[in-house]
Amino acid sequence: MKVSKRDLILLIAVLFIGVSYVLAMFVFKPIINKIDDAQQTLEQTQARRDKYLATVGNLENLATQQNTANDEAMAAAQQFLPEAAYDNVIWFFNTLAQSEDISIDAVSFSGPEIKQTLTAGLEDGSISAALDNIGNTVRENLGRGEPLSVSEYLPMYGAADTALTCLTVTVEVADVSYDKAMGVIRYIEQYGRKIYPESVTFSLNAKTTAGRVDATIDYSFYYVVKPDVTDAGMQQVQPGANYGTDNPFR
Amino acid sequence: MKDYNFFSVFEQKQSSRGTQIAKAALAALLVVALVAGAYIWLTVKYNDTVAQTDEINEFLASPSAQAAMQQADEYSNNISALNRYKNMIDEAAKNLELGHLFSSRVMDDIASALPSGAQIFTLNVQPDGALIMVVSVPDLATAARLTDAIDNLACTRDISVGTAIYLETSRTYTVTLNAYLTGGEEQ
Repeated sequence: MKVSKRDLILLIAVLFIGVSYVLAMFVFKPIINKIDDAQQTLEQTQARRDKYLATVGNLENLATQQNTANDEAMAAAQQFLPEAAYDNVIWFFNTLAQSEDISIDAVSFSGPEIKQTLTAGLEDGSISAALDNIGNTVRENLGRGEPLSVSEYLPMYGAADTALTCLTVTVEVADVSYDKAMGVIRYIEQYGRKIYPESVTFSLNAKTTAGRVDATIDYSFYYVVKPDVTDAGMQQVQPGANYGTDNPFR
Repeated sequence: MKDYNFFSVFEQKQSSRGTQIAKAALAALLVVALVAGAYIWLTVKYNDTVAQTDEINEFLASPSAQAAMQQADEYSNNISALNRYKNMIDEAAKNLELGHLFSSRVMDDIASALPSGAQIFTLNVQPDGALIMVVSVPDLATAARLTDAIDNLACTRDISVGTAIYLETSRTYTVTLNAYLTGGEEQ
């Protein structure tokens, strides 16, 4: 069979198109797809690297931000006492009595009780656990001593999480001048902690000279657990000179 | 008669056909080379992209990079927790402030508002801000002035008079006043 030149050109053209199609579909398209996928993966990886580099570059700033946040949190918490300790409260009223030159007739206690559970709403755990970590990180950074466990405080109050705790202290003074009675109130107001008078009763002392009063005030001492135990709270009890006796009933 | 060199014509035809085949073969080779070159270039590009990705991944998985990321996460978590803690503390402090109405200022205000001749027997403030005062006054006019003065104090509201009883023994009136300290309604 004789093939004309025109047919030959046609045949070659068809063959060229066919081969081109096969090459495009089964050789080049797959590798171009693979390159696209690899390029996307590379871009995502580069984005992760850029984020990492930005983060690492910002590490010092983050540390500063953490310290600032810690300072601000501690400053806010400073208005609350760190722990409900009976001995320190009694010592506090002893100091108050000396300072105001007043005789305190009675100090009685009720509580402590949990007034409010402070939930932070953290997604990855309770605020207590978070505060443990923060407290220890900060203490480590500042070279402070023993590790802190905020959680240790919580069973004391039966709280599952950070709690606002209240110790109610009733203080009674009798047969004092009005100024002295007001001195008690002002001393506690100026103490700078969350200590509030819940109920107050002033009454004229009828047995002595006019103008002298009896006063009974129920105070609420509010406490919160803090991530940094540098707040010593109320003035600590000072040890006396002598301890111990042969006869504890003598 | 003109002579024709039939061999020469044949040679010319033979030469032309060989050139054509050679050209066609060369063109085909060129196409194959182009296709192969393009394929090789694409393969190199793919391998290069994968290698770059692997290199970055290896870097990100290195202990130093992991430690830095962990440190950054820890800082971020701590900042978040501390800010939440501060907000909780501020909120609790604000609520306590609103819920406690008595202060030395209340006593100072009451003392400064007492009319001449009035003497407080008892003053009681309840946790809800209820104020009960029992006051001795020499006459009803002073009782009225007392009520008006206490009513006009900024720290009191809803004042009412319970009783005003005349005591024969002391020749004075004992007035019982009830009121609420202001601020409680903001709770």
